[in-house]
This record gives sequence, structure tokens and C-alpha cells, in this order.
Amino acid sequence: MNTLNLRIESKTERLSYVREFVSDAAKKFGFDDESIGKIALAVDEACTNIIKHAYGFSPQHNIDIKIVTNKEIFEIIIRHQGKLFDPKLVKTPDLKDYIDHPRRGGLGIHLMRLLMDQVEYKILPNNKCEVHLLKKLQVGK
Amino acid sequence: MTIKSKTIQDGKIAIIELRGALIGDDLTDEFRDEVADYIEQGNKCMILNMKRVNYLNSSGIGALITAHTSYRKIGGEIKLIGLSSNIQNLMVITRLIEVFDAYETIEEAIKSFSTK
Repeated sequence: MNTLNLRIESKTERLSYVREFVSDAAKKFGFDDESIGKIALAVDEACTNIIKHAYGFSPQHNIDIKIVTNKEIFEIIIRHQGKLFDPKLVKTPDLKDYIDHPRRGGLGIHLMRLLMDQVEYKILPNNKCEVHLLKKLQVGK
Repeated sequence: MTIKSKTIQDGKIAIIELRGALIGDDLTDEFRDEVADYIEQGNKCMILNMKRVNYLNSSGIGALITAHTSYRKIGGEIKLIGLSSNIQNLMVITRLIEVFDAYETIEEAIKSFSTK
């Protein structure tokens, strides 16, 4: 098992570093360009949600991003100490309904679920929250 | 992100060219405003040139859907051109490819308006 770590301030301007960090790691792990794009976007969406909803755009907080690789598993663990969030409250949007009645937000988590093999939210002691994003490398593809 | 726009065919068709990343509330607001301006002017045929869009996230997707719905409500249409493979993949994953008409070239998009 190997790990890589990045800490960023809770600012949207830092998201390009995150995408670069994750894309580089995913490339070295063996993902193709299409999968790298999906992983980077999913992590971007998760961090955007944290900056926006957990920290309310307050820039003095940190977001810790850890990449854990093990055999064919590529997992990104994003940790914050902002407002707790229950993803079960976010319904998967019905595309037809969303198109008929578009609104701001509500697509990010849905997109993360489409882009990754697994998306999990965990609440840790001391009010810490983690988002786990997992993608398997399809060997032979 | 930068937005350039123009009209052709005596103002019948509006073309918006987006460059850079279509992300975040501020950047997508500029795009939303531009679309709203054309609707206010009575435009019903819009082409979005996405050739130079290098990144799109859920905010950008939301802005595209809003633009599509706004045009549909006035009996208008939006056509997309120049989708990169990454953005095309994203449209397929989200099934938005079934919602938007996408073309390779601006000429094909223009022709699609005239055939209706």
C-alpha cells in the first residue's frame, strides 16, 4: 500500500492544484486519459462541495487529500472539519425533471457517483468528515 | 473563462464561443447572463462553440441545462459544436448527449436550423 498526501486551503482557487495532484497520481497508477479525467473531476466536485457547503466559502480552513493505492485499488480520501453533511439527504436527480426545472447545485454528488466506482461519506470522532472516492484499475484494458 | 459572441444571418442565429473552464458560480453567471440577453433580444437559434472549453464541472453542466431549458421554453433551440473527447464522455455519462444536439462543425449546426 502506498499513500500520497496534499493539504490545501479551503479556496476554489486551489482546486487546480488538486486536479493536477490527483491526475499525476492516477496517471502513474496506470489509468488512461479518460479515467484520469473522471477521477480528477470527481475529486474536484467533492472538494467544491466541502468549500461551498461544509466551510461556507470561509477560506481559513484546510482540506486534506490522501491517495491510497493498493493492488488495483485507487482511493482518494478527502478529510475536512466543516459542517457535517448527510449525503442520504441528496436525492439522485431525475434528469428529465432537472431539465424541466433547472436549478443551481444538486448535480455534484450525482456526478461523483457516476464517475467513480464507489463514493462513501464517513463521520469520524472530533467532528471530522471524510469522503472516500474509489476507482478500480481495469487490468488488461 | 472568456465569452465571445456574434450573430449571423441577419441576427437569426447567435453564436457564443466559450474559452477556458466552465466552472463555478461566477464564471457560469457570465454565461447565463449572455444567454439571457440573447433570449431577451428575441433570438431562438443559438450555437454554443465549445471547442476551446478545456474543463467542465457540475456547475457548467447546470448552466448548459439552464440555457437549453430557457431556449426550449421560448420555442428555440441550442446546438453544441466542438466537444472535446473529455467533454463528450462527460455528456455521455450524464446522458446529456441525449438532450443536446451536438455537431462537429459550425456549418453543420447552421444547416440543422435551416432544415426545420
